[in-house]
Amino acid sequence: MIESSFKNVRILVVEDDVTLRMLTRAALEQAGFLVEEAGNGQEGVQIARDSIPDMILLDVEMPVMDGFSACAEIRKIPEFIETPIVMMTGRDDDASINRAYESGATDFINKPINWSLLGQRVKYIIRASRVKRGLRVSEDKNRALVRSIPDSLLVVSDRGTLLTHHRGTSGSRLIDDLMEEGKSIYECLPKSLSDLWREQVTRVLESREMELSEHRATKDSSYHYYESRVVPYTKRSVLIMLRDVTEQKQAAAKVRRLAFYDTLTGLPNRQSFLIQLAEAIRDAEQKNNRIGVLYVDIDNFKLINDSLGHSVGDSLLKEIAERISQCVRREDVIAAEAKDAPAKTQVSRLGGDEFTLLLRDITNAEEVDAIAARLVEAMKQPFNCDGHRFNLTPSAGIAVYPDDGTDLEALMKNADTALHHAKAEGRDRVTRFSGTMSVRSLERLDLEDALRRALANDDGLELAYQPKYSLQTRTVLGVEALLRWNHPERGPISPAKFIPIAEDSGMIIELSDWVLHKACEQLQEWKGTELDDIRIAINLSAKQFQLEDLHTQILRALKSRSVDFKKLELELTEGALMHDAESTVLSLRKIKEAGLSIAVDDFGTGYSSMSYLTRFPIDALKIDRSFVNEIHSSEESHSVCKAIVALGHGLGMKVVAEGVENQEQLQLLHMMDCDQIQGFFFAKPMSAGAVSAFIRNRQQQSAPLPLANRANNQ
Amino acid sequence: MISMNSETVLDLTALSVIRSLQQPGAENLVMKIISMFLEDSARYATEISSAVQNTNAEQLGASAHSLKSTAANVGAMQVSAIAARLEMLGRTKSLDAAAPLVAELADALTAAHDMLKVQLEKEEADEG
Repeated sequence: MIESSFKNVRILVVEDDVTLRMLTRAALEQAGFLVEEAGNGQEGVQIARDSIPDMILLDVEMPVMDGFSACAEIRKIPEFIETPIVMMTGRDDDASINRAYESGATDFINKPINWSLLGQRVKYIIRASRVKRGLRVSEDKNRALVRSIPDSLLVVSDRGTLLTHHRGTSGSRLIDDLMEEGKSIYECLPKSLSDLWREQVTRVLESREMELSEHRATKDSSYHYYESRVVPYTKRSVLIMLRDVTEQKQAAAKVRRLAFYDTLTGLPNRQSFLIQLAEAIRDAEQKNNRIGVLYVDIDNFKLINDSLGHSVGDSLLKEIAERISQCVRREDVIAAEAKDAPAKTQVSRLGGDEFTLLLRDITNAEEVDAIAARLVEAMKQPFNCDGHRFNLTPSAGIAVYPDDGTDLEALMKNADTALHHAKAEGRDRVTRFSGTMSVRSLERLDLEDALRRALANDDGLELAYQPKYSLQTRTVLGVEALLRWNHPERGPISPAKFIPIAEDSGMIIELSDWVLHKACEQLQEWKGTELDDIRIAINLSAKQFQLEDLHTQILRALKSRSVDFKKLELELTEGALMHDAESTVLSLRKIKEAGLSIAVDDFGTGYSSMSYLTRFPIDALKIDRSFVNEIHSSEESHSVCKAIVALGHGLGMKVVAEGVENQEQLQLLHMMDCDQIQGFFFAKPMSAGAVSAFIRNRQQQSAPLPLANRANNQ
Repeated sequence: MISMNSETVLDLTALSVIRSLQQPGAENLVMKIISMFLEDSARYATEISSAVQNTNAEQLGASAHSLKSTAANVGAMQVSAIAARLEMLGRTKSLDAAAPLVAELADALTAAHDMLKVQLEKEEADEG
């Protein structure tokens, strides 16, 4: 049975004695080897070089070249560095055996050779050489591995002696340089590290488990972080792997900085604010304390970015961040003095020009108000930045834990709502959250805010004018002014949407002042032209009556205007009139005395008291469009229209029909003797310029609406 | 002088070991080895005898060394032992003491040859 691992193993037998050579071959072939022969040393070297055998058996005494020389020669050939070369020597020839080893022989076999054992002996030598070779390869691999790893490797005895020291490439020099092989590491290293490792070495030798630790080494002003792993090595020594992790540490710190800090201002960002707030809430829950959450933003900051560019905006944000931080530090000092404990106010930048303050350990909500007020005051001091001087006003919203919310979401939402309110109420103020705020939607607040800005900047508001046509004179007598609002981001907003907001917020008075002013300007423009006679009707809201006496408002708005008030008409709804009808009668009389005329809008839909109607100084009734729409299709509507015309005329008023959309409606109204019409059939609402051109065109062409003769049709 | 040589003339176990190395189908190894020994040993004996006569110590050592091991291989232990002593004399250049050993070697070799020839015949008979 030939062991497969020895199959194809070639052995060169170098022996001058033919008999011996033959016997050796026979013995080796029987063991399964392939055999080559050489008769002397020189021949042996030649054949070895040519055929590279796996093993060589060399006789010592041979003609031409003896075994020792041949062995030495063969060893010089690179391929034979590890090849087993076995010399066949005399049993008692110690000198030869020694020379054999000196010549590089792997082993020797005694002569006379025991033929029956030769095969086994050779197998053993080959196996051993394979093991040795395997070890060498594995050692090479280990050496390569050790060379390639950045860690420094220390083998340390149980007593702390540094047995071997491989210096890594990662540059753990601050520690490596302190140690020396053969000396105790505990005597060389700083006490903290020495104590740590001493404990770990003892524990590791006991537990046979790895221990991991991290430490910092400082030299001069530089410092490095190291990670060390202590693992059992032998029974009484450990291997310490030491790695410089400074870069990883710094990278991790950078990642943390990017994740939790705002790159522009260096302040904590939204993410870290969330974490801080969550932690503050947990803390406050335990201590039964309050937390103040303050949202601050800079009024109209967008204008700075838009007009001066983002780089100026960014510089200014840095200054703002710095000022808020200063202010907070000052507050903390004040708080610390007052309470004998360090206050922990944290500032974050949520994004844009929005900042937050997290006030911890406060005792009452008023404390937050006071801090906020001081912050706002500080922010109002001028900023000098990039050659510009800025006078800013901040708005701030406050929510207090647990009063205004007990969880993170509620506190943030409510602080934000409060901020929106501060904005909506005209900016430059601090608003504390209150329960009623949440009823009103943020969208509404945003609209309110935008409307206020539109009013303040006179930007986006416009009057459209719809002509009113007299069926008697067949001319345009006047126009109704209709308010239009073009939102800077959302485009045109329906009056049905923004008027109620203006009414709720009280802005309706300002808004109607604006309308009055605009209308007066328009009248001024028309003065002395062919449009001199055109009258402008203005709608008044029922709400504004409740806020203030109507006449006070109107007369104040018109005070500085040098227009003929006879050209102004006010349109009010029935509902507006009937609310506190008594005082309205007085108001309207005063307005009337000033020269303005008064019309009742949407007549027929509300609840009018006939007795009051007679007492109001009303000049005209405007039939609600719902009746006009159906005048030709519904007998009821037709009757109502007819009745209103009769009523109005009976009380000495003019009657105007709104929403006239076709010829049929027009014809019926004409036949009822309605005085004026208004509607798409005649003219849509249009801009001031367009309405002027429209009216001029009408006057010049004097082309009346096509109307059948009323008398003929009756 | 024979009394000095306690070794056997022919140790048959050597031949049986060689026989055990026989590969099936190959040439009879024992016969080949014996034939070669008969030839080689005679040549080495001649070389030894002339080396002693010519006081060539080096030649004596080399030839005696070869004879020593080749004799051991076939089990001619007496020859091998005498050759070993001659080798030593050659190495130590003590040629004076070699002459009587040469005679002794001749006797021992003759004895070994006789016995090996019998073995050779036996092998031939077995083969046939």
